[in-house]
Amino acid sequence: MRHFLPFILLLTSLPLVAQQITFTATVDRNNIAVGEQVKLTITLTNGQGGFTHPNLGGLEVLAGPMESSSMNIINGRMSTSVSRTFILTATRPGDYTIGPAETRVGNNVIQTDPIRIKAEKGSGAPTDRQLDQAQQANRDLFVTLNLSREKVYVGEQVVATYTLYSRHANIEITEQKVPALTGFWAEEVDLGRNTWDDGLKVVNGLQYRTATLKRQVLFPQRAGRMRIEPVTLALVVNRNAFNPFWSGSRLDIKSNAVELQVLELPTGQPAGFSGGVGDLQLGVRTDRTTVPANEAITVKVKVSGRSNLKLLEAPRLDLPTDMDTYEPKVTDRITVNASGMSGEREFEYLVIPRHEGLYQLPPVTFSYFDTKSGSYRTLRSDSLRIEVTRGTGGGVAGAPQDPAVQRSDVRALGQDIRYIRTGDLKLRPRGEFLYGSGAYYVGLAAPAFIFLILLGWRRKQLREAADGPGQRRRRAERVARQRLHAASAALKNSDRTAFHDALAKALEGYFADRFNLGPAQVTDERVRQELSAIANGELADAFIRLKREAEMARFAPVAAAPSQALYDEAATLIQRIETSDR
Amino acid sequence: MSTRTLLLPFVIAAGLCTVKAAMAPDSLVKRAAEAYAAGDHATALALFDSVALTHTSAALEYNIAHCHYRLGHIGPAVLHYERALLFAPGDEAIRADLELARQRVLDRMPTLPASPLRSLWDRLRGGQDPDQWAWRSILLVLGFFLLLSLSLFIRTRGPRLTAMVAAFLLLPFALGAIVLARVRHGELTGRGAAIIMAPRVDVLSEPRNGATKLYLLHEGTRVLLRQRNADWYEVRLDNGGVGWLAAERLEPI
Repeated sequence: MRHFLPFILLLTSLPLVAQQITFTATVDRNNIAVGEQVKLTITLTNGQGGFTHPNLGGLEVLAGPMESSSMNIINGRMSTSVSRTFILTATRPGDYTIGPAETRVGNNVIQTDPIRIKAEKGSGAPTDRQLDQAQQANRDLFVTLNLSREKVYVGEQVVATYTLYSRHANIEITEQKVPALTGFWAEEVDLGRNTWDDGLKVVNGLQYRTATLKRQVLFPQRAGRMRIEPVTLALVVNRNAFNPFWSGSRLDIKSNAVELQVLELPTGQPAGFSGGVGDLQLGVRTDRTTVPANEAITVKVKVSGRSNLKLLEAPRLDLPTDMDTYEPKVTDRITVNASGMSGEREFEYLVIPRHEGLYQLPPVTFSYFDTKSGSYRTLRSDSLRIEVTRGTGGGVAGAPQDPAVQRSDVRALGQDIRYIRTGDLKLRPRGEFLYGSGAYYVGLAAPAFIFLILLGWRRKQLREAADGPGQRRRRAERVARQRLHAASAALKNSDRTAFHDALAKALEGYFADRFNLGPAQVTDERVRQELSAIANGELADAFIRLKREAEMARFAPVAAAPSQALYDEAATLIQRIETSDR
Repeated sequence: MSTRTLLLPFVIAAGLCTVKAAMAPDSLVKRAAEAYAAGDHATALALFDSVALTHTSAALEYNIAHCHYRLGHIGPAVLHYERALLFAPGDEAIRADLELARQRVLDRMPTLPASPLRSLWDRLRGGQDPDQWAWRSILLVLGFFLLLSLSLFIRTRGPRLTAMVAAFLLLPFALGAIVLARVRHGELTGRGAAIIMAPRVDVLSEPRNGATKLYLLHEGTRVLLRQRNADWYEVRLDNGGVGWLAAERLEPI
């Protein structure tokens, strides 16, 4: 049993491989101009039975479905394939979605992916007036020149289409003279093979076959009324290959001329205007946000949309000054078709940061003229954060980092005024100054004034201090009074010795002070001499007597009682001398 | 079309703000600084101007000059930088920015080479406070008399002499401070120079319209004032020329 198992597996696997089912829907292109055709192909491989047709989402079927099927047996493996083809067209501009087609496999339903088709307003058909004019010249064969728009801004694209209308079956174009376009930058639309269009066009009751001879996307370069001269064709019609004697008839035909009104772009161009006119988007991305110093970062600025993309100038990258960059590499993915020029232009900048740090690149701005709103628009990317890590250094690997190698002078980039002063502006009332005010003069004069007062006082004090005898005389009474006071205290204590002692000192001291004498100079003669001038010597006698009494009492062995009378007499005496000597 | 017309809205705004300015100059200054930081220089100028109606300082004049500079009014910018410099003569920032503003004046003026002596003198006079020399003179005079008074009361001969010598050493400084205070006051109140405010103006030979034209001056040019005659100033140009200018065409610093 064991060696049967691989054999059975092999048998069962054979049909499995053969019946690998695929179910796809494809179109030959996703963007069309109105009136252009798109081919839809739905293919079912190894399916059983049929499939339902998708919802075409408003697209019109020009032809189809055309079915083809095939069967292959390769190395014993059989595969079948059924495909149906539709030729579709859009009658109006817009976004169309072709829904999923379905097929049944066993109990499952397989669907194709929906397909989006974008139809843009194309060059359109020529106007009736143009057709009438062209038809009048030659009813059987004529060429029209048609512009997609009649009024554009400088730089805005306009599609010029040359269409041949013919009732002859057999035509050979021998010469085609296209006038030189001045004031335009032109981009040719690749038409592929020159063939008749499908279907017939009816103009004023006559049926024509049509063919697009030439299609150009024009970008006017200056404002004003611009005239596009007619195209001239030389043809041979109805040549019969089987009749060598009939070489056909030669014809020269001329298309109509058209005029285009080109408007000047309004004034007030933003700084860094790219020259773009149309409808654009901006995308900015970097390949990495962390980079070692001295290694390159790629910053890709992608501008996409419908515009004169090939004429766009590179937006300026506002880089920190210690980052280097070079001229950007420009990559175009631009299609030029009946609806004009669209696609994207990518500017690839190589940015090399020289020093480590965290950098915030300012947003990339891109200004263009928006034809829809008729105004300038500025697109702004997000700002980019780039972290530059320490590089390996530009020198030899492993060499010590020598700071002197990379040193350079400080680069001056510009000059501008500094920033305003903030914080405390030290405001002061306008027009008020300390100098010249009353307060100032008072402030100056006050110290001088105070000094003068101090000076006067000090002078007086010094003068008095220098006058010694006078001072002593003035103090004499006060000192004597103090001594008498001591005597009076002794009297109260009945201290005999102290009383007489104080009394004698008071009298002698007073006299010495009063007449500026030394203690030894207080003699009777002196007293008499000094005091005789006062009250006829009576005071002198009284003084000498009192002095003797006090001295005797001091030194007498027999104690005389302290006498109040003696004290009173001394006090009165001093008082009298003092008052009489005025 | 002159700067005057351009300035009209600011003058009106300043007028409206007068009452507020009297109330809170600090908050106005704060709001003005915020407006300036936000790049709204016109609003900042109106607010600074309203503060300037009642107050002044080197920093305020400097800020007003900045607003004018940013708004492209080159005449007023030079005028206010000059005023700021008058308040703070030694200030390097004001001097540098005045130099930048002068570079945008159409008339090329012979600028004096910066001599070290001159800048030393500027720094000596300088400072943010115009009253500083008045205060210093008061303090020095006070110090002089204090030392003298002290010497009166010192009994010992040596220290008493020291105090007196110190006092008389202080005296020249005190007198110098008074002189400087007087010089600064003269600078701040005197009308020695003026800035042309009209875009272009003719210097005439006589103080009347229609007199012979001598020179053509442009906005921002500095002239020295010599004398006034009714609505005319006799001015002296940096190149030595003398002539008459209508008073309304210039603004004394």
